[in-house]
Amino acid sequence: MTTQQTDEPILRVRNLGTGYGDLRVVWDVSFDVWPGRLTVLLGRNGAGKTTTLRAVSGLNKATAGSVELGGRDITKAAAHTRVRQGMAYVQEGKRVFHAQTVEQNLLLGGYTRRLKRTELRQEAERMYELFPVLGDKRSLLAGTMSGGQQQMLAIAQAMMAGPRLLMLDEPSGGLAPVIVNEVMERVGLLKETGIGILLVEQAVEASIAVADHVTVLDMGRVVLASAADDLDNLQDAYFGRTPAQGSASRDS
Amino acid sequence: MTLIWGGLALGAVYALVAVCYNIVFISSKTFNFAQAQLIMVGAFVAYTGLVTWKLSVPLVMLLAVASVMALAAIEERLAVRPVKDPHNILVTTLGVSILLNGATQLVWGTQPLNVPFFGGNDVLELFGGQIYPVEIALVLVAVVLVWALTRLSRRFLVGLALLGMSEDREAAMLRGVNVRRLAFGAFAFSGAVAGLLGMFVGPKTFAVATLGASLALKGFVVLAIGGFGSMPGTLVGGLVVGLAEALAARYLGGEYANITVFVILITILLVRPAGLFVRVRERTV
Repeated sequence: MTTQQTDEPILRVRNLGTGYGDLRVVWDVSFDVWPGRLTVLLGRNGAGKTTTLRAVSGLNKATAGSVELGGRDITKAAAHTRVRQGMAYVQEGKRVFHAQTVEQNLLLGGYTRRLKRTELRQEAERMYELFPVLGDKRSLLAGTMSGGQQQMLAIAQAMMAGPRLLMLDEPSGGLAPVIVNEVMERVGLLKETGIGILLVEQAVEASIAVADHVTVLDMGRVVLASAADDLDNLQDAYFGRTPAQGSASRDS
Repeated sequence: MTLIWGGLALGAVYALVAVCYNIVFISSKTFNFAQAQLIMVGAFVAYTGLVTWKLSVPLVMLLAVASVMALAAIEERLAVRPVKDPHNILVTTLGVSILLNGATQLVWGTQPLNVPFFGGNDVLELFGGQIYPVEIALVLVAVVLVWALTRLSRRFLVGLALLGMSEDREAAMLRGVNVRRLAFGAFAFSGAVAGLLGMFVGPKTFAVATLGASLALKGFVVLAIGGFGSMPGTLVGGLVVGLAEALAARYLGGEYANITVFVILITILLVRPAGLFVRVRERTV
């Protein structure tokens, strides 16, 4: 497990607070994401994982704290400008453009890159290599594909922007276990391209298998931040055991 | 055959109104009730430029496009952008349409004004029927505009971004699309198209302060028949409404023209509630 903290994180979130209107959902959340590594945000339903991602992406306003991308403060930047600065966010629910073909979805993914059409197509070809299942379906409407294929497309579309940071919100949601493994395998491969990945998941085992760092949220606050191989602490935090209960169970 | 040509030309007018509605609808998921009034203003500007000021056709075209585009841009800033709830935009744009109706009456009066068509006024024989050059132009403009917009929207990233916005605004934002700027651009563009169309619609319908209201209603019917957001749907909707209106007026009497159109509308909506060219996607949860 690589957890050197010496190199600069690509994403630095500090004391983030956010919510919906007057409703505060997330308090004082801090974590980092490093280039070429994967940080996973874990937590129960309603822990504030998606809300945190929405605030980091600019969809929700940060009411406190700061968000830095590559050392640059982007706390007040609009969502679309964060994409230009290298942040890509794949929302939960496989939100691809159903009425557009796979190819058109990918081309639109490169909207911010100011590339020529031929260069964009070359980028799309690169995505077909990363996600072979999409290559055969490039002329199909995205809405006609299976859930797993749509999820791959959503990730590939985000990658078309050439991001430095990729944020994925429950890519396993609603998928069969065998497809979850395939999606996670692809996510793991994306680390090798050198981008930082921030993953929100409920599929704990599958996500920890590809993670380098884990941050656990509960009731909108960070309850644990550690290396992914520190499973004892992780289990305590994720399953809500107190330290005393945790040591008792380990002792027994 | 003359009847068919007349119906087609009328249908083309309605289709063009619906195309303008669609440009805004696709980008903003909202309905600009003042869109037909913008075409009406375009017709008045064409009259003023061609008849009052006796300017050249290209200059009048430029004037109509620029002035109505500016008007649409102002409308977006004052009556659309500040409104948070899209449903309320229906009310504010309806307000703009009433304002435009009143303003055109103040400026140009209530009498219909004859807008000359730059392509001539000599009646032509075509497939055994008689047709005016402006009617041919209207049909051609409708077909070419729909073809061009459909093609451009799939060929250029901006077009794909607009279609993406129409489907999922938030997802488009996360692909780097500045949705507010693009929606504003589409609104202004729909104004530019409306200004240009005034040059073609005015010679067919006259420039008159009640033009906006009658075009708005039929344009809406065309959109409902073809399906909101569907460009090809506007052509088919326009064809259906134009022909139904012309045939009903000829064979049943003028008072049955509107009734026939609305009977057809209700029948189509009973069978396909989203219109002929829009498929309803089931919501997956």
